[in-house]
Amino acid sequence: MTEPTDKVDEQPLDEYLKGGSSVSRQYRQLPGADVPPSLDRLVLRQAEEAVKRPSRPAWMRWTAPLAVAASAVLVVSIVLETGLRDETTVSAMQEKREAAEAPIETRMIEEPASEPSANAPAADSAAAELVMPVPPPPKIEVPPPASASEMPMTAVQRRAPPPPVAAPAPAPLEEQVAKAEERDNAAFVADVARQKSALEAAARERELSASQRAMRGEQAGVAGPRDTVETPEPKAVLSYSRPISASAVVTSADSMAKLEKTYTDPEAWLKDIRQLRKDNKPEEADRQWKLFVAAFPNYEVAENDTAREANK
Amino acid sequence: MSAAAGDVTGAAGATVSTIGAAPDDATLMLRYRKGDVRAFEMLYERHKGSLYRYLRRLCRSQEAANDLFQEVWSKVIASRERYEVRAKFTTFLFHIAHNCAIDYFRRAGRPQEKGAQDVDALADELPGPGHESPDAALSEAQLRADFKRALDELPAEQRDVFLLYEETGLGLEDIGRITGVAMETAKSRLRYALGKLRGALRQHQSPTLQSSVS
Repeated sequence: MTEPTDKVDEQPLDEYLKGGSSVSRQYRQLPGADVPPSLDRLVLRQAEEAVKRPSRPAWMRWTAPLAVAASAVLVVSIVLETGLRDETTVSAMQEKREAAEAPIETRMIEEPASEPSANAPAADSAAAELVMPVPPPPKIEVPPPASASEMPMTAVQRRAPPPPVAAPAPAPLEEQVAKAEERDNAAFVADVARQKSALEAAARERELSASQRAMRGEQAGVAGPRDTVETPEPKAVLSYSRPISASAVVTSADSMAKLEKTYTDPEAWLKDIRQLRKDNKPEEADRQWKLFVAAFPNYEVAENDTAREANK
Repeated sequence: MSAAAGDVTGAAGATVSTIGAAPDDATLMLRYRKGDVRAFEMLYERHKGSLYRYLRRLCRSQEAANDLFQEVWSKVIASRERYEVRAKFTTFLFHIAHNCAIDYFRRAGRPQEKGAQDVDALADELPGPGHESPDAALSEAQLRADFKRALDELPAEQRDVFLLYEETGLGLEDIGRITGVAMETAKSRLRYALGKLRGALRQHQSPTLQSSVS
C-alpha cells in the first residue's frame, strides 16, 4: 500500500517512533482503565484450576496423528481392495472360462460320442433345468478369494482334491462336488444331445442343396464340408446353456479341435475321412468310414462323396 | 525509511519486558506450563494492565472489554501445554487479543468503519475539532477529552495499530504480524492515526506548546 508522502510528512512519525512525543504523553494521561478486581480473581482462579486438573496423558498427543494415519491407511486399503476386487472379477471370469473349458475337453475325450445320444431324452430334461445360471463349481464359491495372492488359481487347481486344511468338514464339500459333477455331466450330455439334434436338423436342410449339387456335378468333397461345417456348429455350441462354457467353446480353438476329434459332428468326421483319402490313407479312411456309418447310420451322405468307401 | 522504522521499539517497551532480574515472560509461561501457578500470577500482573487498556480502548465498551479480557486469558491458559517459545510472549498474547477483538466485531455486526477503506483515501480525513473554542486557556481535562474523542473516532485498524504500539512497545514488524498485515501497512496506519491525533492536540496548543508538539 503506497502512501502519498506529500500529504503526510514522515518526520513526525519518525520523531514519534523515537518516543517522548506529545501524542504519547497525552495518551498516558488518559483516564486509567484498570482491570476490575473481580476479573482478576476470575482469571487467577481459572489458571489455578487448570493446573490442578490432570493434564492430558502423553498418548493423547498422538491421537490426532494416529487418527490421520489410520484414515490414510483405511482409504488406501479401500482403494486397493476396490482395485483388486475389479481385477478379481475379471480373473474370476477368466478362471470360470478356463474351468468351463477343462471339463468339456476332458469329457469329450472320456465319454464316447454315442453315449449322449442314448441318454438324450433324460439329458434334455436335465439341460432344461440348467438353462438358468448353473451353480459354479463349489470350490470357487466356498473359499472366496481374500487377497490377490489367491487369485491366480488354474482350473486344474480348482478341480484338485481339497487341501488337508479343509479336512474337518469333508463330507458336505464332497457331496457338493459330486452333485456339481453330476449336474455338469448332465448339462454336458444335454448339450451334446442338443448339438446333435441341431446338426441333424441342419443336415436335413442340406439334403436339398446336396441333391442340387449332385445335379450340377459338383464335387461334394470340395464344397460340401466347407458349407456344412460352418453353419450348424455355432448353433449347436451356442445352444449350450451355460454362458461360460459357450463362450469358452466359441473362443477356444483347442476345445474346438477336441470337439471335432470326438466326431460328434458328422460333417467334421466326413471331412476328416476325406482328408485321410487325400493323404493316401485308405485303410484308416475305410475304418473311419465304418465307424462313421455305425455311429450315424441314418446320416445321409452323397453317393459321390469322396468319404465313401465305395469311391476307393 | 521502513527498515529504520522496523527496528524501532515501542514507546512502552521498557515498561513491559524488563523488570529487573525477574524471569522473562517465556520462562514464566514455561514454568506455568509445568504447574507453577505463581509464575502465571507474575505473568498476569505484568500484562493485565496493557491488555485491558488495549481491549477497553479498542472496543470502546467496558463490558466487551471484560469479556474479551477473560477470553484472552482463558485461551492463554488453555494453550499452556502447547506453548513454545517461538516469539515474544507479548506478541503471542496480543495476537490472541487481536483475534478475539476481530471476532467480537464480527459477532457484534459492527461495520468496519472507515478502516476498511484504503488508508490512502483517508489521508485528508483528519478529525475535526470536538468543539471550536476560542479560549486559549483550555483546561487540561478538555484537552484529554478531545484527545480521547479523537482516539475513539479513529478507524478501527488505525486505532488498533496505535494502541498496540502504545501498550505493547512492540516494533512495527511485530505489530504487522499481530494484525496480519505487512509492516509497511502497519506503519502507514500508524502514520495516519498519529496525524489525526496530532490534529486534535493542535486545537488546544498554546504558542508555547506548539513547538513541542511534533
